[in-house]
Amino acid sequence: MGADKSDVLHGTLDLMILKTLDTLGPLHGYAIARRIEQISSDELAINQGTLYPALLKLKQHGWISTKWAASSTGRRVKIYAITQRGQKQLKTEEIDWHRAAGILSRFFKLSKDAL
Amino acid sequence: MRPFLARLIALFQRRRLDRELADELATHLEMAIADNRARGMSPDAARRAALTAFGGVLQTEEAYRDRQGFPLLESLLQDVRYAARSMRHSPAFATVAVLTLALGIGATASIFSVVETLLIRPLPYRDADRLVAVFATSPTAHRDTTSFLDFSDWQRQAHTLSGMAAYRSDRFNITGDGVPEPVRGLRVSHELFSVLGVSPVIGRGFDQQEQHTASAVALIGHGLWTRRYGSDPRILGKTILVNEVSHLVIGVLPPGFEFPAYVPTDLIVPVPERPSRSTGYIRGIARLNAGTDLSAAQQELDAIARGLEAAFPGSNKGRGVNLVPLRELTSGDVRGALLVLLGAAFLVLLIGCANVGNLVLAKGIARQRELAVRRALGAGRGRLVRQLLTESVSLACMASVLGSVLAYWGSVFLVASLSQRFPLPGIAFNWTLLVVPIALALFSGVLCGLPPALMLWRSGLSDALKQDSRSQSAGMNEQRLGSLLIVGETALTVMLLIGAGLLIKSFVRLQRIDLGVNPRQAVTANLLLSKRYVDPLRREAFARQLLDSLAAVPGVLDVAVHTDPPFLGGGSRETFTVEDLADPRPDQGHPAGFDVVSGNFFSAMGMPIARGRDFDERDTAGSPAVAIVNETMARQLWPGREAIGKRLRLYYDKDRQHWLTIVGVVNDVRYRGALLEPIPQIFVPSQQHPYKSLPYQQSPFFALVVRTAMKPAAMIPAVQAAIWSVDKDQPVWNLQPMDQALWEAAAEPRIYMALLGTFAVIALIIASAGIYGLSAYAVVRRRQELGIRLALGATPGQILALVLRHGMLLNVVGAGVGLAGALVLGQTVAGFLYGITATDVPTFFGVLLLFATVALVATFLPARRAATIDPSLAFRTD
Repeated sequence: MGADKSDVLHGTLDLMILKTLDTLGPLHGYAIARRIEQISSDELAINQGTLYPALLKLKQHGWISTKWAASSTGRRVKIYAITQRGQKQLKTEEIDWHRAAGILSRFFKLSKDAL
Repeated sequence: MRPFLARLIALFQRRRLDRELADELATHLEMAIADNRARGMSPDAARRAALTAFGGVLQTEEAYRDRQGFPLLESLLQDVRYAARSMRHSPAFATVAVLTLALGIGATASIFSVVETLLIRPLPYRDADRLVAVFATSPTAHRDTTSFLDFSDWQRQAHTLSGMAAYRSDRFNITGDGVPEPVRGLRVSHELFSVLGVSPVIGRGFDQQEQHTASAVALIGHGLWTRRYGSDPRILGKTILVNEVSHLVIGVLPPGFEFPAYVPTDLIVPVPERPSRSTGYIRGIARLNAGTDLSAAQQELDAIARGLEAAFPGSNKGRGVNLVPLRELTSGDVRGALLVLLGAAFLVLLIGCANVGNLVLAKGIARQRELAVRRALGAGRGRLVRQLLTESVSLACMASVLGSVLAYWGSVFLVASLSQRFPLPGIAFNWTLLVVPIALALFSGVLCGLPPALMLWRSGLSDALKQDSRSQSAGMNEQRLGSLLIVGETALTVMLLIGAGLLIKSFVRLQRIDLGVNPRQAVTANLLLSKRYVDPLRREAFARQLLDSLAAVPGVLDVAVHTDPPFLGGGSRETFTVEDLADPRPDQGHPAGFDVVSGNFFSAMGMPIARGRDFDERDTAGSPAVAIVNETMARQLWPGREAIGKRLRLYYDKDRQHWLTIVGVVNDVRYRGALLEPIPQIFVPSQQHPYKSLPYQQSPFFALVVRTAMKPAAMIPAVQAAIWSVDKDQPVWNLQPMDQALWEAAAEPRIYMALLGTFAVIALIIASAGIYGLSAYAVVRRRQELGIRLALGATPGQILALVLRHGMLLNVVGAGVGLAGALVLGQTVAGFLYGITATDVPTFFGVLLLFATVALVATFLPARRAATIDPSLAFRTD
């Protein structure tokens, strides 16, 4: 199963995908990439080299499901949707994330005087 | 778990998943282009921008695939597929490599299966490694029997031992309920079952009371139970005749019960408790207490023995105790031989590895450019090394399959050959025959693949690319490594050849020993006499009836009966007082074998009388007592003087002063086994010693020798019938042609020599193939160089000499190393040699000569081809 790369973006990409699918409903791969980029105000560029392996991983864990459908332009596309397991996972990760971020931010506020 | 399953499933949908990914990526790209167009870019710019943002499609696919399946496994499969393809391309190479390794693997695994059974597998008793055999010691013997009284004292006083039992191996006749059957069994003390942790499958053991009162109770072996009594559980409570005494059957031993080991135990009866300290007849088996080691127990028993020595100086002077781990007792004497064989088999495997390694290396050099190209195309160095190793391991795995089959046959053969000593039923199908070949295959595969892999690791990429085939003669590293392998292989082969040569020479010497008897056209048999013949007159009558009955059988030329069964290893010994010579010790006379023989004995055995006369009709019960001695006796007691006319008497026979006059000397007979030096031996005529009331009348055996006019094997049923016509309840042991009995007596060393010889021949074949292959390859590689030399005026003779010199130089160096190794390792076989030392010069020379011849031929053939190269063709080769 291999550890994920410790790249911050990579580590959080899973979370972003899940949240995007949870909020916006089923989407195809390109749309997921675009939405994440838009939400990050284009500060993030989602490379497909990381996006598709990440989608595969989420699917292997059973957090998202796929099906083939026709797009708005009539093209055959693969649609990704979050599953119940995925929603549960998202909730856990969200809590974890907030906690971790909280701890970290307390460290950033740390100054000599406070001790 | 889920992702793992998903990956597993994906393995079987690869093609569809690949197609879907390609579709998805294409769609993604098109959508990106469409978006860019929508933002007002030109078609070209839109496409370019999308592609730039997209990154490499191939890399994406690669990353995706790594995520999707098992990248390591898949590349391994790829390597295996590749290896299979390259084997198909060069089937000759693959065949040679697989056969070579299979021989080594098969040899090693089959010997190991025997080693496992005899030396490693725990004996079938509870905590068998805590069991120790307890022997008495005397100034002359380390593993002596003890008396029951001493045993009881050891048992009572020892606290380091949690239990001790006495046993005595014995032979019994079972009669009355069918064909008389001789069986092997034990007389034991009642503790045996608890000490071993073994209990009867049905019924019970006997108790102290039954032992004490010498009750006629018996436990029968599982084999005897099924064979003779049809596994009938109602045997319990019935009586059977054991040595003509009715015994109550109280239990059946578990199947496979063999105590001490490897000898089927068909019968167990209580050991008699003889009330004398000077009668040694039992041995002990004990269990070490938890937390006690052997040396602590030994110390305690030493102290106990010293106490007994002080209390009973008359019987126990110089008597001690010797504890021996049971395992050592059961396999001690084959251990060395088996380990030498295992080592030799492993040498064969190593020689095979060197050979295959060399072949792979030679092939690897030819493939160097292919590998260089692969590297240039992005294959990692590690990946290529892995690929090379996969190739050689695949070869070795194929070899291991064949090796398993060979190992199976080998162990079947070994079991059959060793069955005389060790009836090993479970050995042929054992796990080692499956596991060991695989382990050996992995080991040898890596070993074979290592040289080329090492080469690859060290060579730089640019070097390999630069080095085209025309300048390959410059591959110095490869050559050096290849030379090293040849030297190693040669050295190992010479070592093995010398070891085998030494053993074979010993064996030939052994076969040439004059056994002192004529084993052809003779049948021998042993009878364990029934109780009815304790009475001397009845015994003599039985002997006469036997002789008459056998003499009447058509085809019988001569027949004799005597009391010291040959070929059994033991034999009855007495000590003698010799007239005009001092006894060697105050309490005993000169030791010698003692055999009471009927008339015709020497002619029936084919033992020529060297000097003096045979027994004849002059020697009657009333005439002066006579004896015949063997050469060894004559030489030892009367060196340089004539033995005939000298007088001696049995040491114990002090009162009667019954002196025997020596009337003849016979040649030494080595019927205790060709390996054992003959001992002094005294023969007396039965008509003067009608098995009278002297210690020697106790010999419970009659041995028969029947000289026949026809093939002895064909006479066996008639001989058996003739014996049973005299006494239908008399079991007969070892009824077989005499040469077969002799053959079996020397079976063990013969097997070792045959095996080692076989290994050496295999090694020689492998090594000569290796030498041939490598020099042939060197010639091919040096074709252009040799062509140039020829074109510049070198004569074919010079070319021949050039190639020969290079090839033979390696062999000479290797042989030198092997010689040195043989001098060192020769000591390990020294114990198995007969009549020569481990540094026997003629053997060393012979082996070197043999090896030099083989190596010369193997180098000469390719060298001659080199000398006949057509220079114009040589330039064109690539």
